[in-house]
Amino acid sequence: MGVLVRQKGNALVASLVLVCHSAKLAEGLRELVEQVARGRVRVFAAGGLDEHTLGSNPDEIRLLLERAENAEGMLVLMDLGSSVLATQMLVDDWPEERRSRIVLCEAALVEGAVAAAAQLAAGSSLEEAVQEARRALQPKVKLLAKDSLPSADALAPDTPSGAALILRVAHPMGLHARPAALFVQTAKRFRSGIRVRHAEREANAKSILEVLALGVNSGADIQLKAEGDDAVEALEALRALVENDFEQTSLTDSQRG
Amino acid sequence: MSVTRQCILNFVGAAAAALHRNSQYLTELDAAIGDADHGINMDRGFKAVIARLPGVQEKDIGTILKTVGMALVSTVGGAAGPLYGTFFLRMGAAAGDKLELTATDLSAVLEAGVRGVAERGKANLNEKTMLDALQPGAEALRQAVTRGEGIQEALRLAVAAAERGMQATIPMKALKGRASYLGERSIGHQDPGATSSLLILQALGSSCGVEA
Repeated sequence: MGVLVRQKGNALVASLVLVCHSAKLAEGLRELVEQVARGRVRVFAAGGLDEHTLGSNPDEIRLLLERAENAEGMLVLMDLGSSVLATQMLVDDWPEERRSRIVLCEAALVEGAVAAAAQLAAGSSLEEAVQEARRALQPKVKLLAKDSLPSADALAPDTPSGAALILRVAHPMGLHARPAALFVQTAKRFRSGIRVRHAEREANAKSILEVLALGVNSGADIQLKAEGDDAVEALEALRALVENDFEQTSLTDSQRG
Repeated sequence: MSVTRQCILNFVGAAAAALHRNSQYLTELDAAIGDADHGINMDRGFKAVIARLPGVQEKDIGTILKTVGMALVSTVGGAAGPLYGTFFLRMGAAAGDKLELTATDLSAVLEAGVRGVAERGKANLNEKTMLDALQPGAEALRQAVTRGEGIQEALRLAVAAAERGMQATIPMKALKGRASYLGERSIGHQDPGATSSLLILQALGSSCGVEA
């Protein structure tokens, strides 16, 4: 097939290839993803046996892979069935020395493509973009997590040394003033990195400014994630603090005088 | 008796004819548990195959079968494209540059094709797929040939086994393909892929299982 040619501009970023059953879906998805890619990632999309027929066209997919090919690699996302089978068949026959830079990713097509494009546009490697694509359903899972019963997925930590938790802040002051100060003080006792999420914003639990900026009012839910060797203890301590409405610690403080 | 290049060409023509005749039936089966396009897809694919056959009718059996495979991959459109494409491509690779196949050759060729389907689709038996007809068919052929049966009898037994396999898909729950999204609701319907597989093996039997 010939030599890989470096493209201008975003030559140092892997390409994104999207394979769908529908030409309309491919076009719409490409438009959505290019918005996220901000001109920094090349996005290629193919769909349908032809413009009017649902299915997969391996000849078209092959052309796409050839155009997308890039020394930094190619991240391929597919919808289902023949999109996957046809792409696998093509990549199986790819010249061996170039095959290792092609990743067929099992992530959800739309969410994965958006996540990967965002990462690649920010300069991430192919491997980092693949990881983000695999986690791409998490924001939606968290948005849809029920009020009283956190879903198992929402609680699932992203990494083996991580832990996650959802808490309701019942204290009348919410996570402001003294409760916030106690929260941060408690978090700082632990080595693990601790993040607090509220209404799509995230803060470092050890930074009073960041925690206050979240604006967590009384009755709101917060999601905690801790990463490190004392992650579980850290979240337990914060849980105890929040679920006791910050009272126990207050008493202790006043006892200390 | 052997399987000649001519009867392989006849087989491909017979398969195309059978899939065309049964296109609506296959589509109806696929409408029950799939996306209602299997018959249309297979007909389209084999029409493309027939168009390419004249260009390879003087070539060896391997080349003919690989040409069938490549045409199917490019034109079928659904999952049957890569799956049947791989089936014929692997059969072609196993047949090599031979101009006729012995019973043993035929068995090895069919087994290679079926193994290809299983690998490509990452499927096993009893998942309600084309493999449920193809694998028993290939197995019956192998056993008959090992016993010393002639090609005619071996193919007859293979087709009978494939037919039983196709019927066995009716009570199965689909674990692969579009039908697997239906879960329990896929039970009670004959698998369209197993049906087209039977048609193809029947074409092989009627073309290559008769004395020239």
